[in-house]
Amino acid sequence: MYTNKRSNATFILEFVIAIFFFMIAAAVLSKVYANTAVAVNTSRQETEAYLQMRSVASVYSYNKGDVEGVFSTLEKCGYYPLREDENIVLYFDSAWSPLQSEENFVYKAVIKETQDKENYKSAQLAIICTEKEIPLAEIELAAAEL
Amino acid sequence: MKTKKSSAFTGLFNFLLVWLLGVLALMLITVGIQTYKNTVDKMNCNAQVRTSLQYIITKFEQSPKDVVYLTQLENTSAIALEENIENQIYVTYIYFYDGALRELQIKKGAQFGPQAGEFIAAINNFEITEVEEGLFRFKVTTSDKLTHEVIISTVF
Repeated sequence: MYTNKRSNATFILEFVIAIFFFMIAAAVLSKVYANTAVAVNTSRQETEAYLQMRSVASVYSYNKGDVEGVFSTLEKCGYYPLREDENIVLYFDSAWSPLQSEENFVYKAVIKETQDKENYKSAQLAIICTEKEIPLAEIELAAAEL
Repeated sequence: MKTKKSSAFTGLFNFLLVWLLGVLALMLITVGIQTYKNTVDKMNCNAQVRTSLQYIITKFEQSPKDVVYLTQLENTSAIALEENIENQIYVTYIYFYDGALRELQIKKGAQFGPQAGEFIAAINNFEITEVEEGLFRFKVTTSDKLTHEVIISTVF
């Protein structure tokens, strides 16, 4: 009887230890899973940010840096450009679909005109995500006035 | 009587411990499988977007931009980029055929066969629009049914 009791207690102790290690492993793996999901989402965000940046840059160079032209071409391309101070702003939802206003936006593209250089016009383009402190992408656009 | 009860309780407790470990292990495996599947799916779609649209962007940047036009070939919209190679005009067509983005380079005027094109990336759909003269919009639909687009100008 005594032996039975002892072996039972040992079995339970072994099992509790096993579950304890299992919990540690689960916690570590859960963190790895979460990090993987975040990394994949970041990669997708960056791809989309790059595509939007490329599109705006194409429209900018197509209009040779003329802000009015950029505004009207963006409208023709299916965007809803808005004027905010001296900047042109495009708002997007979580699936990167253009929005008509800033309501519920997740991403935005800001085209800020900078001082014209000697032979070309220039602007700053930033793609911003509300969830992140730093812009997803940022470049300087330049277009020569031919 | 007391010993019997205590023994039954211990047995139940042991059983619960084994059951708990089994459930936890199953949960961890299920979550792992789901995460892995989601990651692979998302990475595949990301690769489809990157490969197809980046290919077109690079093609535009590399080719001489004087002759670029949108054309209709055997019910397929294609972007055509003309190039002069040793006094021969060659046309590079980029189009969607049989679930994939394809490219075909042929002599201008030669017979176009969409099945002959080189495979670039497996995608669900591909659309080309000429927004303004020399300004093209390319839309790619990936296997997750999401549409991604890029605007490319012939002016750089």
